[in-house]
Amino acid sequence: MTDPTKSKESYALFRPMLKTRLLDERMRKLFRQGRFKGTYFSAVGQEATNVGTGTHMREGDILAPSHRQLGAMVARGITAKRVMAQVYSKAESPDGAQQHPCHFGDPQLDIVSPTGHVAIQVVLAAGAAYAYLMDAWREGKVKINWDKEGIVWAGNWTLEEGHEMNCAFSFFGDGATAKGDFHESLNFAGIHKLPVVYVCENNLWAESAHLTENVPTEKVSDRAAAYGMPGITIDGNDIFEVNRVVGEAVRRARRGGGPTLIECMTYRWYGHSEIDPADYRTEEEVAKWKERDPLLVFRATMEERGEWDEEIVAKIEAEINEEIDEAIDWVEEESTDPQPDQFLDVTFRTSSLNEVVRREWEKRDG
Amino acid sequence: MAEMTLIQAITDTMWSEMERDEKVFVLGQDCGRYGGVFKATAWKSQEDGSPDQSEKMYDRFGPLRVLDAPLAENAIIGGAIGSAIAGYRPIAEIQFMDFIDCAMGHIVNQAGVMSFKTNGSWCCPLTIRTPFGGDIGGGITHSQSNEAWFCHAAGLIVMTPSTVEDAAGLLRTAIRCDDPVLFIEHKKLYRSVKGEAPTDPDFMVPIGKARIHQSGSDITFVAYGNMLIRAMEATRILQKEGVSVEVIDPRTLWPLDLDTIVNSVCKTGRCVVISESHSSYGFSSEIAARVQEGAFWNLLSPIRMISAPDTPYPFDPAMEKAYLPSVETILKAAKGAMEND
Repeated sequence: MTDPTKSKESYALFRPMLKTRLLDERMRKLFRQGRFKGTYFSAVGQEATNVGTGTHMREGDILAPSHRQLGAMVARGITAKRVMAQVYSKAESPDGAQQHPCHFGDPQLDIVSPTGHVAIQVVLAAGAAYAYLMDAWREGKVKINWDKEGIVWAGNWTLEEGHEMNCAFSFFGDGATAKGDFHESLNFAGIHKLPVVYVCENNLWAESAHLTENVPTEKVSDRAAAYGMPGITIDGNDIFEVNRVVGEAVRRARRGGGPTLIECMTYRWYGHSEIDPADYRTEEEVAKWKERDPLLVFRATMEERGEWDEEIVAKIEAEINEEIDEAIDWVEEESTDPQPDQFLDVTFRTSSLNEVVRREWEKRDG
Repeated sequence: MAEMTLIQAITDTMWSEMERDEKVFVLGQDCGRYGGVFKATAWKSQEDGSPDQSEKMYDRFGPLRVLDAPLAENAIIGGAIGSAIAGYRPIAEIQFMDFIDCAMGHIVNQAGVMSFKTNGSWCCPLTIRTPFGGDIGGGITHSQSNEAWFCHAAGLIVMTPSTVEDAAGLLRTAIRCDDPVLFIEHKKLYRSVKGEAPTDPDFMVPIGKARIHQSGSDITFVAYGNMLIRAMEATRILQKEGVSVEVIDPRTLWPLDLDTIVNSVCKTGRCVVISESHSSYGFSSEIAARVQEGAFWNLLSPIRMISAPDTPYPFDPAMEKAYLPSVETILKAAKGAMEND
């Protein structure tokens, strides 16, 4: 039987997932048409992992993404316009067009754009989570439980019943787990029971390197044991499963239960970037994963429940396409090009330091 | 005002900033219960300027604000950056500057670019304190002076105090600054340099302002840290010989106060730059290049660059002595400059 309330919740997950897909496919096309520069990192195929996680974010929760987190950002509320401003390197972009098109971030939504240095972001998330713990402690909500000698306390604290902390969201791929930064972050978070959720998008390939060339254990989640935190491997293409498992981890983190490593098995349909033919994979493997398209998995579940509604889907799709069309029209016709020298004025918050940089530049070109 | 050591002024400044702003906190290896390997995060001073050992920073501010971080430079710096984004003002200690290379990616490609990559929406109010320099028998990985790496990167302020007053004033500026600051402390100076600390709890030294350590008219020395101490020894000897030396301590290595340095060389016509870091692409070559640009027509002799050889840092005491620029080296260079050859 159709449960209308449940159905509404499901479509609230479906909408950002479809928006991510349509936006992503459109941007691939725009890039291939040469309408913006750089390259493009498609996340098609990984929407469920992103949206299933991103919908759990609250204001003030930091998202430390990798370079394939369009879905998490859409779930957090980024508009198509803002995304287009970034890929087209427009003045309205959250980064002022100073970065690569796909280093998505948005300070307004507490999203820290990634660096090209894989896994550096993973450490930043632990630091933000430590700040959340300090917030709660300063508010008197954290009780430190010293050991019986009164010497050490690390990780041994309790949060006041009913209090909830902010939570940091860390995304990374399977390749990133080979880096020392991954270890140092999870180690730190594990020691202090920090409110952070680690989401590993295991899409089997780190650019051209296969999972087994980066990870010696059967599962990425096996690594969690080394950091004293729960680790779980789930179907990253089933949005209901992702949403449920991440939700439990987020709740636990907010209530002082510590971090979780969640490995989401998923797949990127296209190359590492648009200039990568991805010829290191077999066609059979790609075809197999396309059968597990997150949108099809959603549909199958909804059909099973008798809640798949073509009319609702068509309406959502039309609304999304309208937003995307508008965003493209705006970015191509109305947005502003950045000033070629504006980058000289934003390296520091202390304006006199930007003046030092500018003077040097003017001396060269003046 | 009480006379105290340079390291005591550092501790006192952190202490007073932590009293003032609850968002300021300290993290690093052995920083908490142990008070740091150099005791920089241990005790504030008492009236006579000596440490008041009745209460540690850890006990005063609690274990979360004086965090015993894991032995992991990436976690310390990367974690500090994350906390800065979440509203805090971390003071991260890297136990020896030699170890800072481990966290290079976080410093250069996260802290240094945070404002830039958010088009100025976010900043990164991070202070990294770290002891640098040799002459302590520390050998290959406890003696390095790697400041040039950071001056060469974008988005970072680099400071170093060589007096007690500057230790207080510069560190306060660093902590209150909204941009990332690498604050390097010469470990040889920690307890050998003493002086009166400013009593004003808001005393600050501006970024990018050099200090004329001693005025003179015949020749300009530019140096900081232990090399400033050696430059001053050479200055006293030269003075007895009738040579008047102007000694400039840049205090901030990036951005440089070129005006003060160039003006001095325009006046004296001679310049010796002394540093204990490697000679290639280093502090000495930077100052020499910029001074010749600004004071070319006033130069009476070539600018002399004194620095360490481009080798790793040796341990054996005789080798360490040979490695570091000595007072004699400085005298020789100065005399050459005075003879205009």
